[in-house]
Amino acid sequence: MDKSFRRALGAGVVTPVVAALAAVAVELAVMGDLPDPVATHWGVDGPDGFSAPWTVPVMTALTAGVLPLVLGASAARAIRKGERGFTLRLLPAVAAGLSVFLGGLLAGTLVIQRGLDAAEGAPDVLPVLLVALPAGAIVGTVAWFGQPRETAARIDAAVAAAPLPLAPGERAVWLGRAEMTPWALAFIVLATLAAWTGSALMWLAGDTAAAAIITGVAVLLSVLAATFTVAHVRIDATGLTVTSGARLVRMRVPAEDIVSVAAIEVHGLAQYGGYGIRQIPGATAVVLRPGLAIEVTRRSGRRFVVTVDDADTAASLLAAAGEAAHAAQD
Amino acid sequence: MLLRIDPGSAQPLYDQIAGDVRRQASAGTLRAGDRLPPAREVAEALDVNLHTVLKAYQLLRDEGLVEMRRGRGAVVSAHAAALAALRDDALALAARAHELGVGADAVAALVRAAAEEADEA
Repeated sequence: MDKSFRRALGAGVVTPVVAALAAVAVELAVMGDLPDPVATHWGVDGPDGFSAPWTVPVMTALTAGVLPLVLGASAARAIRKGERGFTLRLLPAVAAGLSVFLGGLLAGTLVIQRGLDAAEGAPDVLPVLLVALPAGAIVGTVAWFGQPRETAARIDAAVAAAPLPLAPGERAVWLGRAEMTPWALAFIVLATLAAWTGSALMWLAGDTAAAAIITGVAVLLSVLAATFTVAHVRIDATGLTVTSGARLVRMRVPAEDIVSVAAIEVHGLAQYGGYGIRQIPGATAVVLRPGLAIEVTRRSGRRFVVTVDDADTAASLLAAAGEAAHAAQD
Repeated sequence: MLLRIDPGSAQPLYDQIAGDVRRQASAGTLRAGDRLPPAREVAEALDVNLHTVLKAYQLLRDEGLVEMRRGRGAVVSAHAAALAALRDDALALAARAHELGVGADAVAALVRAAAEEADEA
């Protein structure tokens, strides 16, 4: 087990588990001394939101445990596969800090309500916040610096694809799709649906301003989802064309502009800082999922990367198109 | 998916396109539920008439390898698995024919005749 993985596991997995368990343990310990309901939300004038006491440990387990754990574990998993980078160092640190902050905050709100007859008399929550926030910040910072700094992702040297042998006069086209992973897709679809549901409820509730804003968000999310979740990839004698799902974005690499083509493995988070249409110095990438992709090096030296299935076939046809275009020019 | 045509060949273009799809179904690279690219896009990229591509798709539909679905275009049917299952037999037959010096067209004619006999029986 290498150092990066071990430290990421400590920050992103062990810390959330320990912090959430400790917070829930404290909450359960004071449960007998609490008013029912307890205060769970504070306004300027004191407590203004109340819930049954048992909801607090549940919220703690979810927000201080499960949520940071998912963040940390997803980063640790990528690190174990050999990915490195800024985001992958940040995620476990955020997970660690978040779990300590939320665990401390939620447990603290119950601790200050011990022995009260009614939650309306709950003291101000500010002191709890002033303890939990720095504690989370300190743990997050320690987790950040505790992880080794390895900015360079492990990238296998791209091997130029051999051009697909075509008979004189033969025409070929490769048509494919670049698609997000089903999980990412499901998440985006659910978020979009939630926004639409929210806007419908707002129109029904009659708050026009809020309804208009949420509808705007829903429209924006739908357009973004259609644009960045799927792309059509076409390779023919003229070169490479990538068209986004909603036809809003169209990118082309003409065959004459191609220097070399390779089938590669990409890791969006480590190499491009995320998924979607990414611009980094020296490269433009349409990275919709980790895995196989084709990488085109252009005359300017810039690289263009797009994730596709069956990247080997796609790369060899594109290499053939580039070669044919150069031969035609000479 | 990869489609290649040779306008210089004696085989009609639509037959070449249909043959590509069949070949990829038998090789297992095209599976039931996979979508064929829109005919318009194929026609544009291969620089052939739209009706040539549509004719290829119709041929595949008549064979049962492709289903035309409203709104989803041409989708590979479960019949693709049957083609994939025959692949090993086809390779073995082709290898045996090659050994005996029998050409591909003659083998195809033999298979066609055998299929007709099997239908009559």
